[in-house]
Amino acid sequence: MIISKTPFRVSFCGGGTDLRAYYSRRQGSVVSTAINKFMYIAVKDYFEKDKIFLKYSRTELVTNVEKIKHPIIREALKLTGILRGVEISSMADIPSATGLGSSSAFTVGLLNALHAYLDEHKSPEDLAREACKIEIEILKEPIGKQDQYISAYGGLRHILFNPDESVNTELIIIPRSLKEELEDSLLLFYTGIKRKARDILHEQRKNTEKKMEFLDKMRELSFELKESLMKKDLTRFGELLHKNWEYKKMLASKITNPLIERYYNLALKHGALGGKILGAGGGGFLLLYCEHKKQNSVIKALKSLKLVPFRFESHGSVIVYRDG
Amino acid sequence: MDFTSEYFEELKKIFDNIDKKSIEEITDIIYKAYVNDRTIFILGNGGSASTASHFACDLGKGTLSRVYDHNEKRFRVVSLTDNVAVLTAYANDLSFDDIFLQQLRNLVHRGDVVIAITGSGNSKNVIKAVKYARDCGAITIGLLGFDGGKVKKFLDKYVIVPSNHYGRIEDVHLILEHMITDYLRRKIKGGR
Repeated sequence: MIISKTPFRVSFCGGGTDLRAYYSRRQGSVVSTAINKFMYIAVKDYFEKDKIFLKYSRTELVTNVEKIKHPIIREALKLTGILRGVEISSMADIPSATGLGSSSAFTVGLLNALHAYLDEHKSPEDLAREACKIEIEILKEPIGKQDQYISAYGGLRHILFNPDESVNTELIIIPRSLKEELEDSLLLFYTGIKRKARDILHEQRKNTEKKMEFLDKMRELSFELKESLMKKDLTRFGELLHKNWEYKKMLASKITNPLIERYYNLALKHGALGGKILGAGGGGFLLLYCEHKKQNSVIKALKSLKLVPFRFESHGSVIVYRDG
Repeated sequence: MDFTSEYFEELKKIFDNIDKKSIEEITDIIYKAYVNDRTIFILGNGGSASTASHFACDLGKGTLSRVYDHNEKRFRVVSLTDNVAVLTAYANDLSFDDIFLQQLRNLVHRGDVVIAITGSGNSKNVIKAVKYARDCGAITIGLLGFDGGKVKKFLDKYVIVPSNHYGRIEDVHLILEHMITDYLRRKIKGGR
């Protein structure tokens, strides 16, 4: 049996410039980090050699790989050439459809586990590329490429998306003390709203041309955000996060809503400097930057929301168990 | 119509009716095996045995664009029809039905690709080998004729040469082998 462990992510700045509609014209740029919330995928031989058994939020028992309903599992099995005799199950620290990049973490972790099952080692680059191929090219999801890369590579990174489809992932190296201070200054709240990223992203992708100026701004902000870390200026980091959110809201109509606005404004009033809804928007997780000493007041103000503590994660997708 | 024209007409009819999509899908499976360093095994009897050897030669050498470049990525490909000592040893000691299966036991691994070339689709040694390969988690492919025969149901992908004549079927198998090799060479150059 093989078990892979793949981190979710929190993206800070530049999301949307990782869509092909943007980076095919201008190099996309995001700053994002893997976090210590994980997707676990287990792969093992199945008792019946001619069948495939799947356990996720549903179960499936099929005789033909083409009959698998779960689109990512179906395509990952076809891509790796595992056509029968296998059992796959998945577990995660965070529910899906909440904006922490779970679907790409799932794809990357599944590919990592399937290759390990075939005694193959794949680099983070290979895993990210294969995951993008499945999600974007084959399944036509209207998503960008940042989630696959950060899940595969791990760490706090500045990721650049080139028009020729190549991707540069650069670790942002900061002192441990600064990293810890940054971690301590970030609050993650679950709004309790599960959303379908697809509708928002479809609108956003359609809007890309009209919204180029906002995306250009967000791209610039991602460079400034990285710069703020280099200069150890976390206050600036918080302010940039706020600016980014102001632009992000312009990209599609459902990224924010009155409830989210209320929570966000409440947080600012109580001392947060900035923040954003993670992922596509419309619900899921709210990230806030708030100095440690003002956090109690913000947490109290948002007491109807579940606070989810987290740290940055330096490892990307790894195989944590294998026998035989 | 004279004999030669008739022969060519027959071949033409085959080409008009062959399932071209399945040839593409088979090529894609072989290409993925190449990308992931999986091994490709080829087997068959009689004329198909010689096509198996020929195919292995073409995949192994014919796909190279820089023979003297030690770094050029190559196919891992083996024809199970070439070692007379092994073939006769298993045929003599066990049975002719085991000559391919036993060789696979030494070598086949999950994710590998096994290509069976058979006109009838009913050769016992081919069926046994294909079934075994399936149980090991290998991908099974067939170049077939007639109605595909009994082996068909154990194959993940196959192409049937639509003819009931062994000679024509074997002709076309050889053409398919060359076509797939050429197609792969192009895919490798294009990097996809």
